Amino acid sequence: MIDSKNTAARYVDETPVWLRRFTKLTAVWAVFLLFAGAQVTSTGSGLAVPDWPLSYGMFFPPMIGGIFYEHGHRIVAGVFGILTLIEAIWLRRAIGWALFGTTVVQALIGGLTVKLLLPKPVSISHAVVAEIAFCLAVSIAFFCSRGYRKLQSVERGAAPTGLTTALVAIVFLQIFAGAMVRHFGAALAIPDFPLSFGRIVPPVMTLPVTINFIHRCGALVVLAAVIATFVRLRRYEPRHPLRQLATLLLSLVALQIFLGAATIWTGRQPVIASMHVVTGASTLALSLVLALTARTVAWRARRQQPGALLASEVTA
Amino acid sequence: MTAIPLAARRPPLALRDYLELSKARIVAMVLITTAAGFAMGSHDWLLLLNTLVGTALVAAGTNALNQYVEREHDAKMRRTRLRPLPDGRISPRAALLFSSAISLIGTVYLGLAVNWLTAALGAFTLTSYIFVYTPLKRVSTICTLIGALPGAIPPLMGWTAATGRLGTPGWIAFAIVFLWQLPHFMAISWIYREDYGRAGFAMLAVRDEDGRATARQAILYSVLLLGVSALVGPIAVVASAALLAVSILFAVSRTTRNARRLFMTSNIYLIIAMVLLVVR
Repeated sequence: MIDSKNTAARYVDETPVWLRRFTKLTAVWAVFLLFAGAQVTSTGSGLAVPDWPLSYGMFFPPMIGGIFYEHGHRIVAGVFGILTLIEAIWLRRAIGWALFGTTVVQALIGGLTVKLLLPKPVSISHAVVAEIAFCLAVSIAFFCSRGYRKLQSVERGAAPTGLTTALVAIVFLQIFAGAMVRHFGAALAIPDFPLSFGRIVPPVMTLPVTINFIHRCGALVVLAAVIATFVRLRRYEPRHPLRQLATLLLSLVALQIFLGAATIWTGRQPVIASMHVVTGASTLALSLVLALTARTVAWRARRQQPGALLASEVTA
Repeated sequence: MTAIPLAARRPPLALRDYLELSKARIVAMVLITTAAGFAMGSHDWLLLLNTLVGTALVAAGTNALNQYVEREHDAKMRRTRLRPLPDGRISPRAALLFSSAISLIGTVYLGLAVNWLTAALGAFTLTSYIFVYTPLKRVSTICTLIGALPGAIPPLMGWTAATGRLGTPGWIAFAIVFLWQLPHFMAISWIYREDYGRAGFAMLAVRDEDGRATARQAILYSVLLLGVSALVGPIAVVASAALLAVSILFAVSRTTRNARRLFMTSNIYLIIAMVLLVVR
């Protein structure tokens, strides 16, 4: 008996046009939310509002100083929560509820960071869960998109699912390292770039310097992985979605490295530092879309070979 | 040095049967979580040893009692029909005597050598598992949720053994194991759903023909686990994110292969979470 019940393909056919647009809006709002959250850390406004869930016991405190960033982040997050709830109800899919649930959990972790006065483990967890929620929002938008529908007509073939999945993991780990840099206040622990204290390897390895240096090495690993993926996908014709996504990803990584360098050169200018966070999240999202595209193409390739499906999916 | 033949190194048949009756591998898993809970509160090695001995006896007794109660159902499942009781290698009377004896000895041992709070938690685990979870398995799909409660008590027992009281770190360990079990068992029950169905168990995976509800539950508890993992630290959050990703993969394509992936990822998550609880 075949127990494969692949339902992903049904997303597109059943997706009303306004729902499709709504999923895109939610994903774009998530980018805005990431920027607003990054601004809280970049401007050092994490404890500008000492209470939670209210702000100074009010829904709308005066938006002055750091309160603008902290309370603004809460408002943007609140709107995102409402968007994800609507999306979950409208979509009626497990992944929609997963997004809403992750958003609620993320809000609670955010509250915890305030209540516990920004402990590093909880603050870093807050940054990591934000990326997960963003990835879920992007995945939903992808499965509901026209691009996903167009994949149904793409010529089938063996797509590099392992390579692209590994790329997602590598980018995710690099973002994790980036969150460590931000919350350990290590952004300027090495004040120069591309060298470190004028050398390739820093002469002194304190904790902030080590974290910063790991993040720099991680950037090289990500760049190498993206170039490897780009080269591997050059086998496809120029208009193939996999190749287009790989080109876009390479450009985004180049921009991200520039923003990382600019963060140091400008002495951690808040907007540039926040753009670095947002572009990092976008790199993760794009690598995820690349991996999902590769899996979709490969899955279609497997469906064309009933023998292969039977061999791997038949219940014992 | 002369090599000892493999067959000679294996335990004698009766001992092997009693180990199987006690589900030695599950006892080992219970001991790992108990030790993690203990290590959060103390580094007294002798007390740890006493805790593990008592917990091992109670856990083995609980597993053996469970097999005694379910012997007729086990005989109907391909996966379990060769267990010592349905296969006739151990008589039901001997199994009942063995399981009752080691459960009682284990509980009293915990009380005398560790503390009575830990012993009480051990006794609660045994009674809730045997008298609530086991009968519920044939009545309602809520059994998995109820069964996760006694399943999550061992790390709390470890904490109470170390400190003599209930406390936040112990409850965090409890919450992690409680929530972890659900996607873990959703995967197992999906893989063996036909077997469970044959035995008349009311598992969600048995009644949920297309697996949607099973996958939804796996996602729900993976999301909740994400929140509790934040209390342990960002590495636990990353591991939890991997579990959530595999749960979603299982929801998108509900194949046996993806259920196995979910099962394996959940095991890796538990190991990471337990290590982090100890070193934090």
